[in-house]
Amino acid sequence: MDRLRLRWLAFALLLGVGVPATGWAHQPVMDMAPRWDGGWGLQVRNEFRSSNNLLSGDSKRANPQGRKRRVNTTWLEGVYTFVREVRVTAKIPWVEQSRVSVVSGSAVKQTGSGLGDAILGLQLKHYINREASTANFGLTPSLRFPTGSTSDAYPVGDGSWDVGVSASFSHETTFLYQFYDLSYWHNSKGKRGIDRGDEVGLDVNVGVHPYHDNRHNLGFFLMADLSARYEGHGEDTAGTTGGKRVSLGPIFVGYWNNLMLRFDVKFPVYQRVWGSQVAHGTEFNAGLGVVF
Amino acid sequence: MKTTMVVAAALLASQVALGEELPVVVEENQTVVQVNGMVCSFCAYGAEKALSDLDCLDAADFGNGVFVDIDTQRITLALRPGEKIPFREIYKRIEKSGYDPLTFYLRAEGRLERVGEKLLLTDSKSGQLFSVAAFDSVPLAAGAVVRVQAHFDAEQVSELPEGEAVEITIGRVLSGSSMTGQKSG
Repeated sequence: MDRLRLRWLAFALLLGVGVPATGWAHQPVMDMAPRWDGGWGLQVRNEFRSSNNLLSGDSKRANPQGRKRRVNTTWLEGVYTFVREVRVTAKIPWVEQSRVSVVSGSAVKQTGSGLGDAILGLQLKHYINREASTANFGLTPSLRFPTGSTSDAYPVGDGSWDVGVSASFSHETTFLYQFYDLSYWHNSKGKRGIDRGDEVGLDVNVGVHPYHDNRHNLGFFLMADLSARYEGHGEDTAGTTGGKRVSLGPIFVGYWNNLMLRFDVKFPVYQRVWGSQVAHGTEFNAGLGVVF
Repeated sequence: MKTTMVVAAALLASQVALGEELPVVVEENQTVVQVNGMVCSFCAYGAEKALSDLDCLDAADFGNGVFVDIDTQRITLALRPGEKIPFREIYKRIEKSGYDPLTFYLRAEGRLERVGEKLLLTDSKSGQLFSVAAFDSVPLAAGAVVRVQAHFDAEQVSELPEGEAVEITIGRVLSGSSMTGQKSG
């Protein structure tokens, strides 16, 4: 890792508050649930982002050709807990996306839809239960399969097998919740010239559990989230990919018995792209999960 | 005075928020388990589910016989009258739910009997046998007929052979006769 990456990570750490790990294979329902032996869960989560801002480095520039991007991904996520220390997670995305790119000097609308690249994770945890708190350290190796098609003009898959790993820590009391996750993805060369750079991510959620009702097993969390990403210089079918960004936003998580509802928004507060690219845009997430 | 009251209220609130131990009161036909780490209802759903199909429970109470209180990190189980409490099974189910049982609290009533070195209490309703290891307050002697609230370290039952008496500490004497201040075994 070069000096620039280290500086950027230090900057992200210094910002010091949080993000949901919604984009990661090891976070399908909640970090702490299902923590029981033989427990399993499912979540359907929709992630939407759109932007027509064109960036060159970290500067916004004129966009006379109307370059833009819109990505709508619906994730089906599952988790199975063998014992509290070992669980497997799986995520399968359905992607609907479009973009206006410049091909041979002309603006061209490109679309893609279908099953994206699935992710499988093996989550290893060490729990520490105390009198009025619980915490866990997690280590999650992950594998991303090339299940997505690369045939569309805006491919929903990249055709490569990618490996990732993350290290996480979370701590919770009746009132406070905090979660930190540092992750790394090695992206291999895919099909049709798609060759994305490796990714480093930091996710932090810090928040409170302001209301719960023991009688009805009902409550909610309010959190702040910070998401920081570094994506190495890469290529896809429309040109250069990668850059670095930091997003901030709120998270709401509500629960009732074994049902969980989650909303979060990630507002970009800093972004720098390699070359010239459409900005990442504000991300909206909504998920509904259930555990058994 | 007003300031003192505000400070006292704040201190009390902070103690509750930090999980400061509050006195445990076990009602008739209940047992209470103090559980480490149980601070979120959604995560404790597994514990409630795992315990709710125990045969000894009175499902008419709390909807399914189990009440999880994340403020005190305690699980209260409503028992059918006269049922023996399957401590070991409860311990294992809570542990498999991702938590660590710390202390069991229970009620028992009957005559204290000395058998060899041991002071035994057989609950007159369920027939469950307990070995009295200690007293939190006034010691009782063999022959006393008592109704008590007792507790014991949950770890004790994790490897306890089936049928073996649990060693309890008598915390509160709710009622009794023929009590003496004599030190018991």
